[in-house]
Amino acid sequence: MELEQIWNRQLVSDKENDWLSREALGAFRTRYAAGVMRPKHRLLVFDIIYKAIVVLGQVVLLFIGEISLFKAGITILISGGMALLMVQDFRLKSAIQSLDTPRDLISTLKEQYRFLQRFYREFLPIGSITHSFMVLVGFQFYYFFKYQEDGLVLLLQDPVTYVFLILAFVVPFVVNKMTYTAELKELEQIIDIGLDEVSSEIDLIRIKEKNRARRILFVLLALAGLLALFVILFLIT
Amino acid sequence: MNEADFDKLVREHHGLIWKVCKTFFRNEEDQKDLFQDILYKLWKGKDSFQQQSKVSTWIYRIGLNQAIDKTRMKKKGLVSLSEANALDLATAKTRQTEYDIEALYQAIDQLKPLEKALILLYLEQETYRDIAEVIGISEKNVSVKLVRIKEKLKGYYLNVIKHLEQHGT
Repeated sequence: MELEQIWNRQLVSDKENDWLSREALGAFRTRYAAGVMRPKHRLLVFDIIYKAIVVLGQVVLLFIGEISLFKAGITILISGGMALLMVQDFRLKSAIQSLDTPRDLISTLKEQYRFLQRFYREFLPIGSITHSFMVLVGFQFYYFFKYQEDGLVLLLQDPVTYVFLILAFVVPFVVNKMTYTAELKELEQIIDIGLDEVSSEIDLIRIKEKNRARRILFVLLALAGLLALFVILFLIT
Repeated sequence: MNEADFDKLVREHHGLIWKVCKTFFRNEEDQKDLFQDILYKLWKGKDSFQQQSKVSTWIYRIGLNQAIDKTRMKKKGLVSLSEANALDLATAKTRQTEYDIEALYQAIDQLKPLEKALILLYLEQETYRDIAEVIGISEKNVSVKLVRIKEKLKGYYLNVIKHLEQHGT
């Protein structure tokens, strides 16, 4: 028997008709349909709050201890850097909202792929670096409450601090990279229906997003470089 | 479109939404869940519906997008015929028609998400033009892909039947 004939013999049963009951039709209006991008949205909101806590912590530290030019400089650099990265978080967040526009299936998947490539390349460093700054702020608070004095200078002179700062960046970076790589691969497999036109567009998206991510990396390196320069200059003088 | 118009539209086209759900999920809870999700997305996107395109095309576009989205959330890749599937079929065998339809759905279940969408639209006798519009590929590519998917599906269907015969259900 032909598959088409089998297909055409199916009827909507009473059970499925129940799905159209008054209750069922009323239920979806109050429903919240979680999409595949929902966890990314949550991560971005969490990261924005996390960055705000870091900034707040650093500002509080500035005022509870002795105000020095060095501490003020570090606070300005951390707050400015975090604010810049928060803007990037907000941009990613609004990019998620634009994914809701109804499109054909391939276009929807391509847009999701474009977004995931962007998210993967941008959020990995800007999300991971927050942990490092949180560690720095945390160490300062610990030092302040333990010894009732500012520990920023001492902390920045101690190589152990840098080990923790690097670990706080590297660990989430590596863990998230594995997750995102798997997610991108899975999406690539869904889009790949053996059409050259689709495959080449996917390649193009990958290259474009790679270039865009380089700019973000440059901003992050500039921020880290500025901080390092500031610390070195202070320690020398 | 007000609530009454929307409810009317859903009642008129619910068979189509129901088939999308059955094509993408074999578990009744998941099917119901997807059904509600599709209604929600249709309701949310009702203002995006342009009168120049067919209602069915609009519903398929939103329904299939949601189905693929949900498939990804469920992390459901290619599946083989599981014991649970075999049990469903054993129950369905009491009536030949149900048995054939269930076997067909289980064969479709082994296709990739986009292939499922293509075959569903084909089986629902949508024109190549409408299929191209929903999927987002050219009509020529629709015809090329369908030839391959139909071959694949026939193979899967025969395997499902063979599997059941071997297991004595």
